[in-house]
Amino acid sequence: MVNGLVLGSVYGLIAVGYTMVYGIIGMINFAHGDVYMIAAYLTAIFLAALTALGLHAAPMVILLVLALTMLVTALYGWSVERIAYRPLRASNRLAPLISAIGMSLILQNYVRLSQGARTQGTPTLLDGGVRLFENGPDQFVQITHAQILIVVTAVVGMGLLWYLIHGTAIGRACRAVQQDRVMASLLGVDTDRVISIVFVLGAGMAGVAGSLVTFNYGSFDFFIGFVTGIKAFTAAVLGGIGSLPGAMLGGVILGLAESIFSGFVNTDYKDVFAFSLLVLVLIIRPSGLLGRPEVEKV
Amino acid sequence: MRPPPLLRVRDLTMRFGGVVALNRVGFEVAPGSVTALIGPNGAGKTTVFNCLTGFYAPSAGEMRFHAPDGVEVALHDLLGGPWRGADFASPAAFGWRLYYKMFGGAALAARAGVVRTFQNIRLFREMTVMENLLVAQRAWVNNGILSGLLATPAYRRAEAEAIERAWHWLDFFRLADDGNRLAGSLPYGRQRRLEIARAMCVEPRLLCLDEPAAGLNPSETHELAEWILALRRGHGVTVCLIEHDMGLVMEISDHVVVLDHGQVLVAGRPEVVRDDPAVLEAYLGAPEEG
Repeated sequence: MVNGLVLGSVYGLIAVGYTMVYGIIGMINFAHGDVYMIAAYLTAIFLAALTALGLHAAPMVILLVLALTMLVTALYGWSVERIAYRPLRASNRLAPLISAIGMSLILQNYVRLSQGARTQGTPTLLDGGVRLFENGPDQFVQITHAQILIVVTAVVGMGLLWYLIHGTAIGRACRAVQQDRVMASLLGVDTDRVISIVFVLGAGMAGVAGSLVTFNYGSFDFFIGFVTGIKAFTAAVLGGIGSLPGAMLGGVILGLAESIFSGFVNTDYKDVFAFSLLVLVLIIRPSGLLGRPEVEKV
Repeated sequence: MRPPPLLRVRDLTMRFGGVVALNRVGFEVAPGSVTALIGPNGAGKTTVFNCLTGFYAPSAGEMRFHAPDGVEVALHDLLGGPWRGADFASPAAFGWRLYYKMFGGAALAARAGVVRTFQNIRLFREMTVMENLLVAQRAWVNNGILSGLLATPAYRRAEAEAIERAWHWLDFFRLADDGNRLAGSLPYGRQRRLEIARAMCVEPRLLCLDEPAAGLNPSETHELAEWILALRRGHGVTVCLIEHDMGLVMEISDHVVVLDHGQVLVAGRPEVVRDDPAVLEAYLGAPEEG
């Protein structure tokens, strides 16, 4: 249950990036999962660097690493959009999709070449945890500090993002561009800048997710972006692609479903179960749980 | 002596493949005037608007926009049209062309002061009336992610100003009671008004209205005429409008340009245009409500 929530928060954080980019330019950013993978590597690098500099206080290190990773992944998001998608903005819908797949392969292989294909690891920063519902020596629910960190950070991150989109001027511009890009630009909104910002935000969120996962599990390789990316994408579709709370909800549901299934039934079939769930939801509600059916544009 | 025109369009040509939508169209818009573009369906009126507002990059010709403060904007360059021989003549021309190719776009036309509305209403339907007006304001340009999250004093000041201006236009167009409703849920006539209010929030020097009276009943049309005149009187806005309602055109415009088959047929004062035989012929007989 707790594992599911943790996994779900991570999926949710990544799903937000898919959903925002889809909402604003109607394209699926396949390179998004790889930004998450890069975040895991960056986290390890920054951890090593900070430790080398002599910083050991865990909260301080975690905050710094999170901030630095977010910054660099945001830069990645910006560059990916600038290089791979903006030049193709005027072409048909297939071109940026293929460009996205290409970008994903480039990022994977560049990390593989520069960092090696082996599974990497980091020392765990946060040990220990809290025991709840203790009934005797073998019956308890253990929540590690790292898990608490993930859930809390995910909730805070989502809250900030929600406020940014619904409470500030730049978020207003994002929503306007999402609804009618041409009209927004005719009113003087710099739509290219807004799209860049959406990519930056999405990548930043994926960066947070990558950092958190590294804190928790401590091991990663150049291929984690693919599987997790697909799962997060599933979560976004499950919740209704284009919808921000939908992405988070979809992530949590997917995470819970996976961990409950592997806990009670069978670990090997957890992915089958997760995707069956997706198919089921899409049959019943084609636009996702919180999605709205496409409104015909007049 | 007449003041120099606010907008001078010369030899404007727009080709879509083999179809010539506009063929060497030329006209002028005097500052503070109401200029109407009329003509039968398919004459190219909306295409002129699309070129003016940076929606299309014209195939040839120029559109020079003279702002009162002496700045001259070449609207035809904003979208980064195709390279021309002249671009290679001087480094400056080369640089500008490259700049517009890279960073150009319709937003620049709006910032220069040319704003339009659409024949079919294009509001942000899922946002409130207020938010529609706020999006249209430049204040956000200087505001990034951090200033919004941290609510810096400069950001808050800009927001307060934007909200105040939005209220001003809501009052002006008698929409103040609807501020928090979703734009898509407003009745049709109010959506039309909101679209003009939103355009005014951009603080345009040239307001281009594409069939603002379409679908309005006679009394609403009459109100609209008064609003347009009030905008011109009270706010120094120059208006350029496309309209089929000849009653409205004759009532408010100072200058009428008649387009037919992508060419300017006649241009002049409304009463002159009304009686011009070529115009009557283009409309296949008399205009409905001449």
